[in-house]
Amino acid sequence: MKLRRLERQLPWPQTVPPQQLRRWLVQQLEQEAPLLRWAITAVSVDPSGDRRLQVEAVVEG
Amino acid sequence: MNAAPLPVLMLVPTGIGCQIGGFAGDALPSARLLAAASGCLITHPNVMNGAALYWRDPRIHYVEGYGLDRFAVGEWDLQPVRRQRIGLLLDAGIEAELAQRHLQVAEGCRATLGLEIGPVVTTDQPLEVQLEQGSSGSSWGRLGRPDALLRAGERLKQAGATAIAVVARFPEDPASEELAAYRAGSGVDALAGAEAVISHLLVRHLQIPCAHAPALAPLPLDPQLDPRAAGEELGYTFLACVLVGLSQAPALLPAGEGALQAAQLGAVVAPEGALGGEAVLACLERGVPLITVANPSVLTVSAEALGLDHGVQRARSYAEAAGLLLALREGLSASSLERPLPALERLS
Repeated sequence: MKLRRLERQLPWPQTVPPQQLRRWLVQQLEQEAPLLRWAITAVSVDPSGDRRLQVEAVVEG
Repeated sequence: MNAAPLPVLMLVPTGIGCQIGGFAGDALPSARLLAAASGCLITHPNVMNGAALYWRDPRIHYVEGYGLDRFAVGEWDLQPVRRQRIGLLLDAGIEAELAQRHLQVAEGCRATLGLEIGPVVTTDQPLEVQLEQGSSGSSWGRLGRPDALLRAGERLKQAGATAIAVVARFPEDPASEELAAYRAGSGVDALAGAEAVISHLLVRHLQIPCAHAPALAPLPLDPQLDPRAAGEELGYTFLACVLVGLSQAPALLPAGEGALQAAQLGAVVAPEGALGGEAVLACLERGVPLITVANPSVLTVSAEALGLDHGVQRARSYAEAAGLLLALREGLSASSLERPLPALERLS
């Protein structure tokens, strides 16, 4: 097994409410690699109102 | 108090520099207060571990972060136990004298505190811990040899350990600016992220309680040491608190098999800028009331940032959070304690 650190900026769709954010994020991140530890470490809004999530994680692979 | 205990999750994420809880178990007084208010507090080693300092409270359940996330998601339950048998897992990268210091802590905890400790195993390769920092400023880390950790953990479990205390040799740089800032009470704990990775790996693999203590050489005396970091400079190891915490840590069982289940959670308490972890998000999913506490860190993932416009109560301190928990436990509406009293909501 190998571990690596991962940082991603993900657009946060308007259709995903905060109450569904965990499931949605896990789905997005697990497409890349099995997750060991992760967290949203920033949320930003661009001038057009679109939201972005910064996620930091440690994953396998 | 007449009201039944209210199971509450208290989170102070590791390695983000929280003003309360970002150092050597310095959220412990807050945890004790929340435990008294709720009657049942589930929290993680970062909150409880003060290196040479620790506190046992039967109302506090010591659950490592990966297990705590699985609990909050509803995949695992917790089962209080009378006693755990703690296997001691030592990194082969620890120098002989430092390893001996850790063994003596284990012996001391057996002799003086009556803990059930053993067996002891040393990894078949050095674990090669690496420290890293994310762009947010949070501390992270990795292991060069995760398989060696898991092999040693498997041996301990097969030999009868029901919980595991891990001690890994951490890289050190006594002259670093980060360490100086941490000791002065203004930085992020650079070790914390890697510690979490180690314990997460073991708990995910073995599904038994685990917690970690870093092995480090003693630091030179610092007369200006921040009191919040002092617990780490009272002895040669950070192990005693881990052994005490694990000694009665609840067992981690598949959903539906344990006495304490996520569906029973009455509230989650977290720093107001650190709401982006899996446990808090899982609580939002299941509609658990969220109490945020002013406890600055390097993160600003707040209720506002997440667009949470209801179901959040804001506390300016853990003392205020304890009052809100008492209100929840007693079935009091928190708004009835405010003036002016908010207007009745009318449906049109």
